[in-house]
Amino acid sequence: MATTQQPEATEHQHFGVVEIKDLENHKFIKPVKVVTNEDDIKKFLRSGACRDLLEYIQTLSDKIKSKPNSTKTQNSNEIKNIVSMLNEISVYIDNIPPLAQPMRYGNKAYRTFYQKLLDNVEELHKHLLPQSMHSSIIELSSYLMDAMGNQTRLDYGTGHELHFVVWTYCLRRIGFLKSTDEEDIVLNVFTTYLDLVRKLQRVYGLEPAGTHGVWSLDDYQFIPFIWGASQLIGNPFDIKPASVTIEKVVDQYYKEYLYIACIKYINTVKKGPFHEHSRDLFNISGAASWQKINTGMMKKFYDDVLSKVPIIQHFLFGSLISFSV
Amino acid sequence: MNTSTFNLDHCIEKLQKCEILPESTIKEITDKMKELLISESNVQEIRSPVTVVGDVHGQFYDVLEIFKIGGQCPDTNYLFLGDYVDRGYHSVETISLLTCLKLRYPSRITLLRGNHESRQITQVYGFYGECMRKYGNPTVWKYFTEMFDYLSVAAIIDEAIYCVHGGLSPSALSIDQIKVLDRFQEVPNEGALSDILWSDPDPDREGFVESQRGAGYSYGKDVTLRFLQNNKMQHIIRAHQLCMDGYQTLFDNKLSTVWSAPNYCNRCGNMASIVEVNEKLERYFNTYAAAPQSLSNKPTLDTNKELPDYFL
Repeated sequence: MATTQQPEATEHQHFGVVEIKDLENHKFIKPVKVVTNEDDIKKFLRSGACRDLLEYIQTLSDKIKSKPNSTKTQNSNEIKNIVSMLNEISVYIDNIPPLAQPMRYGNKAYRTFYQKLLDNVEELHKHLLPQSMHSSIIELSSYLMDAMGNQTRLDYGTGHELHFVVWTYCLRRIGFLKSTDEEDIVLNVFTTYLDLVRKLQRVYGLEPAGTHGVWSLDDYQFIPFIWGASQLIGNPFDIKPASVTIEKVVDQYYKEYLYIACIKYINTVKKGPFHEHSRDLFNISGAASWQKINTGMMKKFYDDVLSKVPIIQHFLFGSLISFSV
Repeated sequence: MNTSTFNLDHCIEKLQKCEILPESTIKEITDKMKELLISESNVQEIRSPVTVVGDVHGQFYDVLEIFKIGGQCPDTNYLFLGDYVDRGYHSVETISLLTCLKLRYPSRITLLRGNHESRQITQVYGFYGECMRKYGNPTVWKYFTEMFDYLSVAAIIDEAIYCVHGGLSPSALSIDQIKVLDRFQEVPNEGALSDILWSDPDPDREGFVESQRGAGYSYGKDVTLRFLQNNKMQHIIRAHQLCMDGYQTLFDNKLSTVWSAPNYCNRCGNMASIVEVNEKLERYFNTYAAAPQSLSNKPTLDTNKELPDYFL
């Protein structure tokens, strides 16, 4: 029997992040890897952890809909302190220059950076959080560390990026960040994080972890394409999906929109015509609207990141985002 | 000249122009390839001189460049260490060409299995999607991944140089153990077959340590030297890891990594290399950069947009 296609939803019903009520008695645990095979992935995709994570990403996406980076936001002290902390981590990179010696790929000075962060990550969190939330640091530290890449393999990829999103989700779960901070999580915190990890990628030549190569949006990132597409819905500058292939448009608006900033960055690190080095993004620029791109990116994220053993086998589960097989 | 050879020459000619073969031809060549490979040992004995090639990952025009630099097949003997597919634009053309060359000159070219010659990995990293785009169905992917199960997993040059995609396994410390593995299967998640395709050398640690890749192990200098000594080998040549200079030697020059995909993923800016092993078993790393488009006659990819289903 033929079915009529449902109209595409443009607004989503949000249930919000469930905050931990009794922090004092909550049992925080060191997050661990759980997923090892396809059966585990199937269970994960049906789990509350996966649902909550998708819901969180979607909520943030909707919160920044039609809002450029320069949008006047609440910018709470908590947000300012997170940004300041990420900037402090960025200074570590300045103080640990790459080693001038032949390398396989990925500069070993990155391990020095990673170790310095590891030595300081607990203190950074203690400085960030009120005393009543310090018991959560065991979980938060693991996610923030992994959000910086892998010190053994000297690489960085979408799984590491995902752990940063989880870190912000955990800050929401413990009540450090509020629903009123959600715009800023993207427009201030995530943009600062992107600058930081791109600096890591550049300075230490981190290998793209598990890249799909020419078949991927980008060798390192995914999330900014979801949120960036949302920002561009109904934008006042008449920036259409096809506009991202026009250099002049990219140069004019990259500071205002995450999606365009990604294109700008890709154009600086890849040689040749855009339609050759970024085939997927080029094809996507043929979409009818930014709404279609935003919705499509969420589906693609589900398929290309959350559904893949090589990525989710490294995902860490604790008490704030929990799952067991 | 028999019909089969004539057809192969025609296929090779077509592929060298980066044109895909019809699905029915792929069925034929993969069936013939399985017949040929079934008689090959898990560990192939090959003679010098031979040129060893690392990961190429669907970078077809760079594969053509390899044959320009190293010499055309069959004038030069070749040993490919795996990872023919995924990540590049032309995995279909790359594996089709190498398969046809192997069928045409079976004693001149040896193809080993890499960790990307597997169903699970190719469904994630591009080859499956590329087959779907180019053929409209997964049949060609199915033919090739079935063929991958038949590829040998290691080779020995002049009973002295051990060649493999990834490296060593704590479950198979002797070459004799590798010779008796059942290789005719999808790459498992663990065990010796998985390890030799997934493992990496690590100059910063000893012994075997579980790999951060999620499969295989990191192996140190100690176990590498012990493996060489116990198996009466002089050197290991392996691939599997991106190298900025196209190659890297480790463990007192007892192990070499060779990487043959220049400017990997269009962004890494790395050199690539092939290893020429002469009759004295001397190794010469012939390095090269990505072929300039003008020199490689690379046709510009068409500028029509094929909108993925997600965005319709």
